Amino acid sequence: MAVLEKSAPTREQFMALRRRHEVIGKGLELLKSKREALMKEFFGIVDESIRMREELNSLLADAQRRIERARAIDGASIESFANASRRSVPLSIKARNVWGIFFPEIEEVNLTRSLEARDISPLGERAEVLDAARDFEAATELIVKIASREVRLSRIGEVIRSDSRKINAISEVILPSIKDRIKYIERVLEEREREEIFRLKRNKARRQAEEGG
Amino acid sequence: MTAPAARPYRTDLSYFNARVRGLRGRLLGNRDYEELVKAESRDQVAERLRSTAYGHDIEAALARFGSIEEALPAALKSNLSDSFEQLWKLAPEGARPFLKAVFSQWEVFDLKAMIRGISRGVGREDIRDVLIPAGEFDTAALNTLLSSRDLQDLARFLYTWGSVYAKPVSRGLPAFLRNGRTAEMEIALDRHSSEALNSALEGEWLDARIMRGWTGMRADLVNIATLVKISGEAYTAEGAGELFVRGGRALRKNEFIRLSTLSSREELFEALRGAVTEPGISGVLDSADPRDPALLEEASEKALERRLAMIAVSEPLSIALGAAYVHMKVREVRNLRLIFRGKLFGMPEDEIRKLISLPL
Repeated sequence: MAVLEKSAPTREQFMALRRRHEVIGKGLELLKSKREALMKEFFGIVDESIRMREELNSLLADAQRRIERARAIDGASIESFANASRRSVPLSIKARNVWGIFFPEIEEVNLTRSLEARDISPLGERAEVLDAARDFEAATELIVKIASREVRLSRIGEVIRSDSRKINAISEVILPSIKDRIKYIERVLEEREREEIFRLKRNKARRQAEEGG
Repeated sequence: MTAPAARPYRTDLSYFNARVRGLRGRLLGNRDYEELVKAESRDQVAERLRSTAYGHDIEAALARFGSIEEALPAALKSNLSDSFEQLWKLAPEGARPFLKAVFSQWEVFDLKAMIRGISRGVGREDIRDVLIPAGEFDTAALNTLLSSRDLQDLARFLYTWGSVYAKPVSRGLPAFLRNGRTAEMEIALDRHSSEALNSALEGEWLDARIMRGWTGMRADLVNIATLVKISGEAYTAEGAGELFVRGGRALRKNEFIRLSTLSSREELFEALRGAVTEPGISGVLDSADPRDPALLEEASEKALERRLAMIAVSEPLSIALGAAYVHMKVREVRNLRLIFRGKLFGMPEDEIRKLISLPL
């Protein structure tokens, strides 16, 4: 703003400031559109995330209840089953760009295995343990989905916050200050014009008086 | 070469049964359970158990683990395996094949736990924590098996000992060496060892008949439980047939394969209720709920225990007394674990009462 205040009240500055006001105004509209689009995206994901979180909570509560019951009935078989279920889960993460925002997107994976894919004999396993394992795998699958959405949500949230700050700064500080400066220069220029007219009129009157006298 | 499963022979069980009655006398009664369920905290449960046969195990476990949360389950496990070991040692040689039919469940469990651990690179100490010494696998035998470098080594140990489990483990080895899968080995252990042990229970005297009938019922209940577990899993007829355990009377293999194609548990239970007419097993199906398969498993275990307990009353000098004791002890340890964990998680008394199974 200091630059604006220091700018000389000339016609050139006046024109430059008006151009700048126009450009910043267009930028502001663009920023507002971007924020609106991001807000739409944000609220779309928020609803989905909340629904997924609720689903995850209920899945985990069921799975935990099952596993606690199975552990109380036969703790050793749970540990043996856990040893058999050890595996690494590779995740593929890609960068995605929405409105110039880059965020990591975790590729959704199918982690729930069929009984055959578990590589165990179903004969000696408790049905409750198998059901709990299925629930926990489904919960892990959901966690991967939620993680991807929540990272996106937090990045979009950050950008919306920063854009809102920019929009506020532009519409509350920068544009009014340019507008004030334009008005000031306009006033100064008008003043100068009036002075010039007055001076010309006075000179004309003086000349006419000299010629008459 | 692997030896066939040892065959039982007529033997006098008077001394064995007298000792088993002594062991049964130490089991907790309904009044003890009532006091434990009414205990206000897990510490009170532990305190009450200290004055029972579990006291010594709790003290020993507390010396190893810092907290009662870890010590009590370990104490219960150690007491259970000591009871198994004691029963195995008390049993006369000729009656051991009968008890082996009961203990095979834990022997197979131990072998599977080792196979899973060794094949997936789990530390030997972690595997040891899971094992429950029972039957032919006492603590020393399990330690020797745990020293195996790999699964081939484990199979060699079993062959050297002439164990009935050597064959099923070796049968699954090619698949493991080919693609790292251990399911074939586990299925062979679950299925063929049970069949080998059942077929060894020959003879027409009372004890042989009792245990044949019991193992037949167990095979039926295992098959029904397997059907519940695989329903909706799209197993092929061949794949499902591989899971069928022979020796039962209620369900034939072709019936088992047909039922395995049903996609929902509701449909399966409906079909099973129509197909199974054996009184002990149809009672289990009546009390089961398709939405809660754990109820079926609990009802199955109760039915197996009830069968032995009833025979033990009508034939007090038979092997049924010792075999029923194994079930009673297992149920007691399970009840105590349920009560302790129930108190640990602040479960209401009514809920705990619903989950525990009181002595018959």
